[in-house]
Amino acid sequence: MSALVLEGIVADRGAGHRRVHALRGVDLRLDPGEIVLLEGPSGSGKTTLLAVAAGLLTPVRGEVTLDGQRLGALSPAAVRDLRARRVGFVFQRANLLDRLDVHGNVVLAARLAGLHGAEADTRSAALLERLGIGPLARRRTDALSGGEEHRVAVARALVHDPAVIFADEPTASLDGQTGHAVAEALAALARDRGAAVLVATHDPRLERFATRRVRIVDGRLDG
Amino acid sequence: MREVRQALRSPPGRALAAAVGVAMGALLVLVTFAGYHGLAAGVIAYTGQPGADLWVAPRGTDNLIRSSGLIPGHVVRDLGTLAGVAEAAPLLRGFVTASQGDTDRGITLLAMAWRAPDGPGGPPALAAGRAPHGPVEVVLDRAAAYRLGLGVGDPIFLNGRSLRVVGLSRDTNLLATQFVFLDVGGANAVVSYSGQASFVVLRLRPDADPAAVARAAHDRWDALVAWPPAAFVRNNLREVSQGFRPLQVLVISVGVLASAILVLLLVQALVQERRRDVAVLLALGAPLSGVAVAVLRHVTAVVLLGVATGAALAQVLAWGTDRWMPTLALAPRLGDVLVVALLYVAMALVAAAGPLLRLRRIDPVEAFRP
Repeated sequence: MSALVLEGIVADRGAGHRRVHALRGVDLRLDPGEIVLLEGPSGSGKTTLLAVAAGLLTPVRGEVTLDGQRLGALSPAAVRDLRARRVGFVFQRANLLDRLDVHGNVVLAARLAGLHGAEADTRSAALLERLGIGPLARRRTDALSGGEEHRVAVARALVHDPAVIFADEPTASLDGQTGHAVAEALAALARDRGAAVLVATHDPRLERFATRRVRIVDGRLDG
Repeated sequence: MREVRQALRSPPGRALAAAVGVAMGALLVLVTFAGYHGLAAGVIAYTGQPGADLWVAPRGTDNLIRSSGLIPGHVVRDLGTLAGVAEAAPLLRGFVTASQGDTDRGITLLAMAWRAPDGPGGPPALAAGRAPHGPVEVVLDRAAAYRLGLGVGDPIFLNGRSLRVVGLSRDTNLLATQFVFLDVGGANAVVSYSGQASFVVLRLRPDADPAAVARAAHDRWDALVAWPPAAFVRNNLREVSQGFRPLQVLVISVGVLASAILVLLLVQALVQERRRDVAVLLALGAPLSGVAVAVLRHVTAVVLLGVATGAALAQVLAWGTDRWMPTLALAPRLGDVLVVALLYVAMALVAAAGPLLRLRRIDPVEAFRP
């Protein structure tokens, strides 16, 4: 079973006279363990594609099937629940919640996915250790370096064993060495857990981690 | 969920500042309640005092604060002969000017002349000293004593007549004025209603039926009305409330409104500043209702902290005024704190509703924005 299937996706962004066709018939399939780079110029529809695939944006036409479930057949609450349990995100800015410490940020995703108490704590601690930031568990997020923040974001994306991880320019705000380390960690952990990863990026250094590359231009996938 | 609640807290300094603001509003509201209870306590303590089984007043007079008409001396004596009456004690009521010396400058007090030292209608409780014995001794409300700078043993001038303070009474402060008690035998020199009474307090025999005695008094003197203590207390409370309630409503409205504005600003700032965090939470799968509940719980905690602080301050204020400014009689009650807490939580829900509705405009896709 594919982790993610997009069929004939047409999606708009904006409202009224500002409405634009951001996706114009996109078909894409990701199998478990695949790491797919989604490349394309700014404004080509990369982020919209991630949002539609994650069930954050409802397409005008087409069907998204995530972890075997057709999103169009689910209620908004069920889509939200599926997203919480089976999807992980790594945003361009790490987007950690600064009122929570490192551990809290990771445990939050676990709890939203339905994991309780000790299990959420244990998984969070293990992941932070694996990513080499175990000693930072109780640190405030505003005291972290960019690389540490992104490692926490990777832990948050993986703590609940998602079927699909969506990463939006995960290395854009990091220097070369740090970006490489974060991408390597994300790729290794996702592969170990059999998660499919869709990475929207401009960063050619990520190609070595990818199993496949697709290019989007003006809302259409090339080739 | 605990993490969602923690993620959406205001900065501690701002939450604390809001709580302090709410505390000031709550303090204002609680002080008006406490002020009313302090006032009511004086009315209840005096008009509901033990031993006063019926309050006989001229027709048209149903309370102590605003009374008119006098009861002739022979009627006072005859009331004592009614079946079931053990004692008919005259009370003479009048406003007097009290001062430290023989001067025109003074304060107005409500003088009650009664059969001192132990007849009904005297001071309900003494804070210091003793009851008067003879025509030149008085018991002064302790708040009035504070206003005049007098203590037990000091001379006092009532309407220019020199007397001596031999006791200080408690629960006899009506806020706008206070009581001074003197012996009815010496009262004529001060209030000059020779031999008459403003009220007659009847003490009944144990087997007497108060309603029957009241009917008998009215049947015999249709210009008189006999009030049971409960009704008389009610009448007096109504009378003091009439002046107090509008002010109380105004102060409560201002206190609650000021706090509502603070809550509104707090939630507004929270929703605006935490917009990205909310988008991230929604993207991660947090329900919008859960996010709204987290914000509401935070705001409720701030409001309850404010009310608790306001209640503590009200208690301290009551203690301080009792010690250093007894003219302001404050009697805080736990029940009021609960009522104010409920009122404030309801206010917070209403004030937060507008900013919370703005949460619906936050698109989780915003989490992707760089």
